[in-house]
Amino acid sequence: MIRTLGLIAMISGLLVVMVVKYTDPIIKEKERLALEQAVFQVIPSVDAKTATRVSFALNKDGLKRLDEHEGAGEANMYAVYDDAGKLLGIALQAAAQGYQDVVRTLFGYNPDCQCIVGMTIMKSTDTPGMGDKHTLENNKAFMANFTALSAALATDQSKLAHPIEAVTHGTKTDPWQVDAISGATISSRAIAKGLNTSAQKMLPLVTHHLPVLLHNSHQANER
Amino acid sequence: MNESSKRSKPITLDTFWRGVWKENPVFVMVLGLCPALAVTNTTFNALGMGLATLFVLVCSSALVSLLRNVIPKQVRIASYIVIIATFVTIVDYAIHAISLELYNALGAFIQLIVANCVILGRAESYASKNRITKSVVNAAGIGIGFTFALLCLGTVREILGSGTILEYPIFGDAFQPWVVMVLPPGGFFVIGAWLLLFSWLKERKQRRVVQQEEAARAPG
Repeated sequence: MIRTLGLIAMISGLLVVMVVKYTDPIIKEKERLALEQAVFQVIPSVDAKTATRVSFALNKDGLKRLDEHEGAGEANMYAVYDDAGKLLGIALQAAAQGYQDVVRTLFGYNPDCQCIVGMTIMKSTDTPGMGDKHTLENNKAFMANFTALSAALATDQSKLAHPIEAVTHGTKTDPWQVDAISGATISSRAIAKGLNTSAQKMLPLVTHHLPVLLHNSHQANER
Repeated sequence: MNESSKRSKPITLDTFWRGVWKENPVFVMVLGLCPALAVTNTTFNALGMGLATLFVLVCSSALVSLLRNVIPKQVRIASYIVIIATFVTIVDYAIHAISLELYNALGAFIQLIVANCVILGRAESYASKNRITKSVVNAAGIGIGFTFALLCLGTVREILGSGTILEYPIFGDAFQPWVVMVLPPGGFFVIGAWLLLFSWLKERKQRRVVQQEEAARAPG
C-alpha cells in the first residue's frame, strides 16, 4: 500500500517538476512584459520601441536601482527614459479597498508638471459591468480624470498641497479632484484613495531623489 | 478487476457520445456546478475552464486506468486525488504561461478543478473499472460535454450581460447590457433555463416512445 502511494507521489512529483521547470521562464517573461506594457501605458508620449524601463526600490532609507532579474519583487517604482536618456515619467503602484477587494492601480507621474498623467487598473474584482477593469477603463470621461491630475507638493515638500479625492459625479471643480462614476462611486473612490495614499507617501521621496533619477538616465543610456 | 475488464463491451460511439449528450455532466447529471456557474461570465473564460477540465479529466482517467490494478482499495480515493491534483497543477502552470488574462480571470477556480466531482466521479466509477482506451474515450466525451455546457452558459451570459461575443460587440451602441447576467444570479437564471430546456426535450422523447409503444400494441 505504502509502496503504491509512494510510486504515485513520485510520478506526480516528477511531472509537476518538469512542468514547472518548463513554464517558469515563460511565466516570468510574460509577467515582465505585462508590467512593461502597463508602465508604458500610464506614461503618455512614450515610444515603446525605444523607451527603457528601470526598476527602483524607493523607501525612507533611500533609492536603490534594481537589476532586471534580481529583486524584481521589491520594486515599487519604475522610471521610463527615452532613447536620448531623458526622463519621461515615473510609474508608481497604488492600492485601496474597493467594493469587493483591494483595487490595485498603476499610475504615471510627470515631475515637470507635478501631476498624474495616466492610470491603469492592475486588478479590480468589483462588480462586473460597473467597477471592473474593463468597464472603468472604457469609461473615457472617467479616465480623462487621470490625464492631468494635479499632485503638486506643499511648500515644505512633505505632503501633497491638496489631497487627491473623489467627488460626486459632475461636481469636479479643482485639478486634484476625481470625478466619480455614478453607479461605481465606491470603485472610483477606492482608485482616488489609492492614488492619494501612494502619492502622499511616495512623491515627497521621488522629489527628494529626483536629481539621482535624472542622473540614472545616463547610466541607463550608457549600458 | 481483471475479470470485469475481460467481460467489458467493445468501444462504441456511445462510449464517447454518452458523456456529451445522454449523460452530460452539467445538464443531465447536474454535477460540477461550482465552476459552471462561477467562471462562465464570458465565452472565453468558459472555453478556458472547459478545456482545462477536459485535459485533467482525460489525463487523470488514463493514469487511474493504467494503475487500476496496482492501487489498493483502501487508499484509492487518496491516490485518485493525488493524480488529479498533479494534472491540475500542470494545467495551472500551463494556463499561467499561455495567457495571464485568462489566468487572472479564472483565479482560484483552476486549482479548484481538484475538487470537481465530475473528475473524481469518472475516476471512481469508470476509469478504475475499464481499460485505458475505453476510459480515455469516455472521459473525453464527458470533458467535451462539460465544455459544451460551459459554452452554452458562457455565450448566453456574455451576449445578454455585455452585448458581446468573444469580446466582439454584436448589438451596437444602443444596447443596454443586462448586467445581472454576468453576476452570480445570472448564472443561476441561465442554468435554470437550460435545465428546463433539457428536461423538456427528455420528456418529449419519452412521450414519443410511449406513444410508439402504444401504437405498436394497438390491434391493427
